[in-house]
Amino acid sequence: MAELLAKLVLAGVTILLFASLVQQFRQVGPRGRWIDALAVVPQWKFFGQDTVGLDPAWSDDWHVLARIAPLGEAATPEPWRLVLSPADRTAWHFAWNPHNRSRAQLLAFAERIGQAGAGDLPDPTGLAYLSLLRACLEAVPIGEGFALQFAIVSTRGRHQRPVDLRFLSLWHVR
Amino acid sequence: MKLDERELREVERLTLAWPQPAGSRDAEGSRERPLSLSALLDQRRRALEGRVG
Repeated sequence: MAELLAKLVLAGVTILLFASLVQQFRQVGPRGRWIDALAVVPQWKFFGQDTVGLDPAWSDDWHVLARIAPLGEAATPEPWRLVLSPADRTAWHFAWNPHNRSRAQLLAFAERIGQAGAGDLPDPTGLAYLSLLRACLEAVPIGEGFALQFAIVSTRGRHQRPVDLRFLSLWHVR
Repeated sequence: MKLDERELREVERLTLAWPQPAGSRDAEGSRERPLSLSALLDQRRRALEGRVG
């Protein structure tokens, strides 16, 4: 009896391990999930299960820039300064990259606003807009009598990549 | 990959061509009347408090 029980447990563990291996390579649908109804199989994913598709927008890189200008329309604004970009990762980042998540979150906000299009001004009190504004105000110090504006730009590819201005914010002070 | 000099110049050019809303000179958020971050945060806080209350 004990031997039969041990074999059943071994068979169950084997099935779960096999299910874990399968879900590394393909998306498991609702039908496949009944095997692991108790969710004991680790949900680690080492490979992307969804195909990216042919839409070139999937390969857009998003950048956030900021510039400052004296209050009033007369003076020319200063040149744009880069605030956030998809950073090149070094080997050290594999072990220690504490800013990775906050940077990724801000770039996700930039993507959300940038994809909305030029004619669709987001709510300036929205979390995405405020987070980007705060990041820009921290990165580009502005003095008394100056205002700051930020822009969201997308690029595509790696060499001679086209640049697209996707969003231009209002002017702000602290 | 960061933007290089050519791409930053391209952004400058695109900025000039960006459509400015009519009457933006006197509107809130213009360079004449910039919106402050602290005022926006207060506005958001009040809106959230109103939603909770």
